[in-house]
Amino acid sequence: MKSNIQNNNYLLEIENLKVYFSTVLGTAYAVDDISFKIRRGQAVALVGESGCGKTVTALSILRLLHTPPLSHLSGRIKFEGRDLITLSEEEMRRVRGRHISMVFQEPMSSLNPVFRVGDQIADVMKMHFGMTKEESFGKIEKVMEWVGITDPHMRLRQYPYELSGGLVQRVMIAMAVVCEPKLLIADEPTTALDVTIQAEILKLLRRIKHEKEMSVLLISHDLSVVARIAEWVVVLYAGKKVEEGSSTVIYAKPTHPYTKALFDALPAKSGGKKRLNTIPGSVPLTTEPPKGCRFHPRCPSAMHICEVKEPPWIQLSPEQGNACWLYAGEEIKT
Amino acid sequence: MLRYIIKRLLFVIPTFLGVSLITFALIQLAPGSPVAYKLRGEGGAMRANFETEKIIEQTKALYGLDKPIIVQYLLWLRRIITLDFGKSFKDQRFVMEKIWETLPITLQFTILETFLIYLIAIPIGAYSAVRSRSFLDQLITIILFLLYSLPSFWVAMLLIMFLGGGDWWNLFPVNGINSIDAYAYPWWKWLLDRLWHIVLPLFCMTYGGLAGLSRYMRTGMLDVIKQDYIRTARAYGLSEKMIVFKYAMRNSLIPIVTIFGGLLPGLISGSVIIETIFSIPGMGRLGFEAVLSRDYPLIMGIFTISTFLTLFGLIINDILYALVDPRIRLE
Repeated sequence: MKSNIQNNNYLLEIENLKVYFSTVLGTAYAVDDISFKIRRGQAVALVGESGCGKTVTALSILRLLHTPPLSHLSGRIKFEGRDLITLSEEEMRRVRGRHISMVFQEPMSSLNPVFRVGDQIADVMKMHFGMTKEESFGKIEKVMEWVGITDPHMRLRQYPYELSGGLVQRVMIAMAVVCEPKLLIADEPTTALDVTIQAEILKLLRRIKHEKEMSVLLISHDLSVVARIAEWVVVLYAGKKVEEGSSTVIYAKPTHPYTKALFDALPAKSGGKKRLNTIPGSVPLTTEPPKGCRFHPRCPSAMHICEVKEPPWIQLSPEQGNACWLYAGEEIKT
Repeated sequence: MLRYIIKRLLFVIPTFLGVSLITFALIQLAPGSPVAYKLRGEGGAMRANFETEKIIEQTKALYGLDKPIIVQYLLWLRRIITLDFGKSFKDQRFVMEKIWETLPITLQFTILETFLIYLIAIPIGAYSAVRSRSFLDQLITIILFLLYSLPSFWVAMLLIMFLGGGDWWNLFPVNGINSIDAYAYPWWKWLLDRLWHIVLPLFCMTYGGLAGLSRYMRTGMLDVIKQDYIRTARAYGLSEKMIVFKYAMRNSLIPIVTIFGGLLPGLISGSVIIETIFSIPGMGRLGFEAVLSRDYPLIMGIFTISTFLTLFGLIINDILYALVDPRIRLE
């Protein structure tokens, strides 16, 4: 089924990514054998609780993790056919911001407080296209207007502290699209913003996907945010991929107990009760992951095998797959 | 900005009043008096007879030393407002005149020191931070720690002994700031002669501040490198050079600039010991001699000038602060 022609539709292919850190508590298996793919123009969401490896995955795509604390990085991160893991630091630098860009969770601390926002974007253009400040300011103004900043001429001469959180996030997004990269990584882009601004930023991310034809890797713990953007969802738990599939299928019929629990915790699913549903316990430290399935200590349907043997990947349909012993034997033949 | 500077200038007045009052009281409380010094100086051993007592009382009355301290202070303050610092008890020359002769020499040292300290400490600190925990960083740390803990008067003595014609080499002069016949030199030779003379004292005045400041720079830079905006700069493909020298440097300079204000009083008071050891005719040595001879008008004059210099430095400091950190300009 997988022909070469179809492979070319993938912008980013992550295969068997492993990212370990050395910590005082021992080795942390932050990302442990994760694979997923992003098509051109597609939005993929990485979902899971804090500490499950979402941000680490994103940072390793841009190779922004350093030794120490990084102790092991392996697997393949194929971007347009090139394996980013094998690139030299200088080659990687030319990819960052130019072909892959990233928007961070805290807009206010993500921009340098002592430089004007326009100058910071201009430095990115200078780095990648050798443009002078004067040359780039025209383009930057246009992009700032496109991301919905009124009076960009004035705004680009302001410092981050003179702008609101929502405006700074728009500036960040302007910086992320100004070089017209092919992939935008958005790491919890709306978490630090209030609800009305959140909706506008999400609308903006959708526009980026449609009008700029960029792929988006959205990182979020908020399934309601994910539903509005992503076509494909990858659920992570304690450094492992536990479920993956198209968002329509996953939202209609989540299979993995962890994914189900995440959906049950949504306010709408708690059915007007005063207390929201929760998942008992917390994400285990990846320095001492539980044996077998990493979710078994918190899983309501845990069986004996879950405690001893790690579940294999089970492809339930072309649109959905999980790693759960409950579905062993239901695999489709490919 | 202008309003802020004016406000800062107005703050100088109460600060000055406080500093001068404390100084005045401290000097008066210290044992010994200018009268006793005078008697001892002129007539050898002091004799406690009626004649002596009479002379003491007369001298005290002459200088107003018989009045209560607070009255003396107010009288002094009244004269200061009209910029009248009075005459030195010791040689009856005008205090302002004596200070004016020595101040440029001390200022020359202070300015050179500040310049050198910043010029060397910033790159050292930045390097240590960027290559933190490397061999060279650890070596620098040890050397700076040693330097920081060595008292300058001791180092000065060692330098004189080893490099100044004591027991080993005779490489540098240890007396004054120019050769005796320097006035007849052409300008370039005069300048070289001056530099040759100030190498040792300048080193003694500089190394402590240098060691301290480069540690501050290292800490500041290490803190900045961990910030989110540095990660952003990396994530957008800026070169390491640009990240270190532009994005991290500017932010690390903010705490360094604020330290300037705290550095200045130390530099001025540090000159007292070093100028005395190297027989440099600066304000520091003048102050040292004035204290020994309880020359009240001269002491107060020097303190007043030092206070104003320090306060002036603090205002420059605030202006620099606003220049490196745009968030301050809101005032």
